[in-house]
Amino acid sequence: MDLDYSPFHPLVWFIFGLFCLGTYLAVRLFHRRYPHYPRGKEDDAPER
Amino acid sequence: MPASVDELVVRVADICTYKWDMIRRRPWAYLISGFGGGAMVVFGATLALAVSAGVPEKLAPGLANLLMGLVFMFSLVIIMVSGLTLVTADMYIGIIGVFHRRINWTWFIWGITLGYIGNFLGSMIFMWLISQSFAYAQLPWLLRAHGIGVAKLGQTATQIFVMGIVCTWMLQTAAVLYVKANDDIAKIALAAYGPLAFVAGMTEHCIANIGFLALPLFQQDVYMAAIAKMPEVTPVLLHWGFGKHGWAHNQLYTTLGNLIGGIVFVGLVFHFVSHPQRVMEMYRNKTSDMLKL
Repeated sequence: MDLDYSPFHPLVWFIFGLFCLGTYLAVRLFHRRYPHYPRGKEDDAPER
Repeated sequence: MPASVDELVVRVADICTYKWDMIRRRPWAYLISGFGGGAMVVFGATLALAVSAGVPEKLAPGLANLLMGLVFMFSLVIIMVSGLTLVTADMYIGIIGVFHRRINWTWFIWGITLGYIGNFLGSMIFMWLISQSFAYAQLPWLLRAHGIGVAKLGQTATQIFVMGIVCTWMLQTAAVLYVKANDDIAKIALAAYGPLAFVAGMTEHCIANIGFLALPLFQQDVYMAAIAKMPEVTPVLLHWGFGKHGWAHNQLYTTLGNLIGGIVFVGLVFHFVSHPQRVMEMYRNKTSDMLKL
């Protein structure tokens, strides 16, 4: 099957993989930078 | 005055808690919400097909797109006002919820999956009903639906993918600004902008395409019988699978693109523009963690 019409288009999946990794790292690094985000150090949040 | 970006992300996180609370405690209700939302999207697709059939390209190539966008506008308005579920909105809502520690990755992925399934059922069933009608089996609408199918299903993987990204970049910008606005007129105008932009802009939306591209497939037998009397028309056969002119081919790359458009260019952008310290200050004064859309 022509790659342009294949479900395994390498460039698209590579970009999608970069997106998944990049988003995961963005969240991870943000939480590391702000470990008490968003409630601050005193966790008096209402029960969910 | 609309809310600040900091207030906005807190509102979005509260909406995330409301939605994912339903996913956790009442998943069947969420599925039904997705069903309703999916059908509402293709209300717009149906109207778009109805008004754009027969519009000559020679008049102005973009005129049909404009007409389609104008009648599609209110699809997102009715979804947002009703509070039902559209999975492409959940993409930016969920990622902000992950940043705000309202949900984890597993719940995020499960919520998107459940929302997609509900939307799929609503979109597909509604368009199957349309395919059984007399009105949409008439030649102008058969030709138009099939033509849209050929155009969208004939694109390459990268062509579909980039327009999927652009779609949710535009559509979810409108959706997030709906949350940011404080008065009803502004909310309606902003929600209306989203579908106008993504439809008139010829982009690819996974849920709209589920139904929009299923319709010519449901009608293919009727279409083939109709054009058998038209020797000047060379039929292009559409199919459900992968490969050129396949429904699954378009759906796969549209969905991948939509995920990136909503999560990166709306969710991440608004999150990183918000000021962490100001957001934390707002949380100190909060009394509730839920907001219904």
